[in-house]
Amino acid sequence: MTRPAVYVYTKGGKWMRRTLRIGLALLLFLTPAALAQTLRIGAAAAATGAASALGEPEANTFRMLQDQINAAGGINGIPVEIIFLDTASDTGQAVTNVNRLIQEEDVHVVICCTISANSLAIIDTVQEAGVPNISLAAAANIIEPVSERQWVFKTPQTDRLMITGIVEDMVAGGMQTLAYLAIDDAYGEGGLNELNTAIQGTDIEVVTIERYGRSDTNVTAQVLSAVTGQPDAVLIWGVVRDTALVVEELANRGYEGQVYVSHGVGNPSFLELAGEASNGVRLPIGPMIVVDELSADSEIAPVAQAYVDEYEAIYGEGTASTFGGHAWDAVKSIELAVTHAMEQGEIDWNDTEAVRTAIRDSLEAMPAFTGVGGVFDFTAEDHLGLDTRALVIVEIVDGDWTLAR
Amino acid sequence: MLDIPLILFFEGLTNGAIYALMALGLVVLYSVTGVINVAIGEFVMISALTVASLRDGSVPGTIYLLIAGLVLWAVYGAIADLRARRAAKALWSLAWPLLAGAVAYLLVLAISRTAMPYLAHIAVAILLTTALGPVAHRVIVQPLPRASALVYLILTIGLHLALTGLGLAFWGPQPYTLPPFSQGRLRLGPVLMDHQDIWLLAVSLLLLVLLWWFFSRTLHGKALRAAAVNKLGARLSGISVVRAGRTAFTLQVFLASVAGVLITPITKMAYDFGFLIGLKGFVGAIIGGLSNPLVAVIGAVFVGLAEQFSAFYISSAYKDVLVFLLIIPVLLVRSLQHVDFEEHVE
Repeated sequence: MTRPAVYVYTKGGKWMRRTLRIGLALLLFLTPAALAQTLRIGAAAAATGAASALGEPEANTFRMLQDQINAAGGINGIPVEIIFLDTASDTGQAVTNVNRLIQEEDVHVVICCTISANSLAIIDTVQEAGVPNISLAAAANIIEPVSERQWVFKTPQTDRLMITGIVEDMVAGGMQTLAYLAIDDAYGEGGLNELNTAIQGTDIEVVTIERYGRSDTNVTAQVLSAVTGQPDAVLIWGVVRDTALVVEELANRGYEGQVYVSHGVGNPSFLELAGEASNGVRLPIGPMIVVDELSADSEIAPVAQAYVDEYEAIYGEGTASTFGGHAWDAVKSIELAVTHAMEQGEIDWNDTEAVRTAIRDSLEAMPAFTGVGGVFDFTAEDHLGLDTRALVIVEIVDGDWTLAR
Repeated sequence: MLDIPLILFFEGLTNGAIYALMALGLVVLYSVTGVINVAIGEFVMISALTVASLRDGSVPGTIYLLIAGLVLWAVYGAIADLRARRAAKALWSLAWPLLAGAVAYLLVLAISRTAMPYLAHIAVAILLTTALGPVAHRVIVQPLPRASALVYLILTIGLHLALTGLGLAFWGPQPYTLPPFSQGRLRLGPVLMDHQDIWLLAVSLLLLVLLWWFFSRTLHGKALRAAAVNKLGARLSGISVVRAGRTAFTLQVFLASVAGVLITPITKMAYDFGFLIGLKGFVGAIIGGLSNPLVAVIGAVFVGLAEQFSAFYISSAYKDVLVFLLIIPVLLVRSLQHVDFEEHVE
C-alpha cells in the first residue's frame, strides 16, 4: 500500500481522509499566494531619542496612511502593510532594524531613516540587498552620487537647497559675517560643506565654526565663541531639541544679529521649547508649515492643507509638522510607483526581488507628482527631484511661523 | 564687552556644583557598601520629571516604581521570615510594605489633584524620589551582601537601563522644563547671573556643609564612616552595616533628586539626560579615588570648569572626550601613589 504524503488522522472513512488531504494541500499551496498579495513597506524612524521630535510625527503619519490606504481598498486592491521599527536616533539600531526588515520581514521597500547620520549608514545595506529605500533625512550625499545610490531616494529638501535659500536671504539682507554652530555629526558636517560651496561668489564669510553634541545640555562656551566676533548672522544647523537650547543661549548672551536655523526644527514643539528666544529667527522650510499663507495658485497648498487637516483630526490641533509631511511624501511616492508598475504589466507578488526592482524602476520612470513638501520628479539622475517650489523662508514671530519670502 | 573667562568660570562652577553632588553621593555609597551606582543619573531625571508631572496635575510614574519596589520588599521580607519559621512575623513583613505603598499612592493621588505652590511640589517630588533609595537598596544590594564591586556594577547598569526605559514609558521622549525658583538676574561685577544659577550654588553649598556636619558631628554620620572604614569592626561596635548601607543609598538618591530639581530650570530634562550628568560626576568621584569626599567634590568642580574652558579654548567638538580623558592621568597618579589597596577589610 502506498504511503500518503500527508498523514491525516480522522474518524471518517477513506473518502473523508482523502478529502481532508486534498483540502490541506490546497490550503498550503494557496495561502502563500494569498498572503503574498500584500505590499510590505518597512519603516524605521526615530520615534524615541534625541530626534524624536522628527520621528514621532513620521511614525504617526505611517499609521495614519496605512489605515487610510487600506480603508480605500488598498493600492488597486493590494493591501498595504507598514512594518514600523524604532531606531531610537541610534545609528547601530537603524542598521539592525533595516537588516531585520529586509531579511526577516521580507519587505518590498524600506523607508529609513529620520536623520542623515542613520540614512548614510544604511546605504550599503540597501544597495547590496537591492531594496529601494526612501530616506527622510536632509543630507545631499544620501542620494549622491547617483551612480552609487541607485536604490536610494529621499523626500526632504536637501541641505544644499535649504542653505542656498539662507545664503540668498543673507545677501538680500546685506549680511557679510556668519558664525556657524552645528551638531557634531554627518548633518552638521554636510551643512558646513554645502555652506562653503554656497557662499562662493558672495561677500559672505564664515568667521566662527563651533560644534555641540546632539544631547548636550550646555552650549555656553560655543555660543560665547560665536558672539564674540559679533557676526551679522548666526546659522545653527541642528534639529529641534538642541537648536532650541542654542537659540535660548544666544538670547541670554544678548545677541542682536539675525539668527538662522535649519529646516530640522519644523515641529511645533520647537516654538514651545525655544519660547521667546525664537522671536525673529528665520529658517528655510517646506511650504506646508505656512500653508494658510500660501498664495491661492500654489499647487502644493491644497495637498499640504489636506494632510494637515487629516493629521490634526487624529493627533490634535497644531501638531502637524514638516517631518510627518516627508513621511507622507515617501508613502505616496511608493503608492504611485506601485500603481505605475501595475499599469506597465502584471506584478508577480511572489517574487520579492522582482517587486523591489519594479518599484525602484517605477520611482524613476513615473511622472512628477505634487506632495506635501513640494513637486517631486524622480529621475535616473536626480533621486529627489525637488525645485525651489519646495522652499520658503519663514520667520518666527510671536511664537508662530510666518512667511517671510 | 563680555569677560569670557569669568563667564566660563561661573558656568563651569554651576555645572560643577551638580557634578559635585553626584560625586559625593557616589563616594559615600561606594565607601560604605562597595556599590558604584551607575543609575545615579536616573534619579536626577526622575525627581525633575516627577515635579513636572505634579505641576501638570497627573500622577507621576515614580509612585508606580515605589510600589513595585515595596511589593518586592514585602516578598523578600516574607520569604526570609518564613525560612526562619517565623510565620507571624512573615505576615507582618508582607503587610507593612504593601500598606505603605497603598498609603503613598493615595497621598500622591491626592497631591497631584490639589493645587500647591511650586516649592511644595518640589518637596513632594524629592521625598518621593528619595523613598526609592532605601527600596532600591533593599531590593538590589541587600540580597547580595558580599558580592564584588563588579557584580554590583552590573546590577546598577541593569537598574540604569530599566529606569531609562521606564522614564521613557512614563514621560515620553520630549524634554520638560520647570520654572526657575525666582525670575531675574543679578549682576556680580562683570557677570550677569540668573537667579536659578545662584540658587543652585547656594543650595549645593548648603547641602555640602550639612553633609560635612552630619559626617563629622553626629553619631549617625560617624557610624557610617565607621562602616566605610572597616565593616567587621563596625559590626563589633554595634553598628548595623545593612542600615549603614541603606542610609548611604538614601543619601545618594537624595543628593541626586535635589540636583535634578536644581538643574532642570536651566537645562531642561528628558528621559535620557540623567546618564551623562551621572557619568561626569563619576569622573569627579574617580579624581577623589572613590574614597575621599573632599577631593571628589573639588575634582567634580574641576570637571565642570574643564568642560567649559576646553570647549571654548581647545575644541567644542571634542568637549566630552577631553573631560573623560581626565580620568587617565588621575588613575596613573593614584596607581603610582598607592601600593597597598587593602582599604576594605572584612
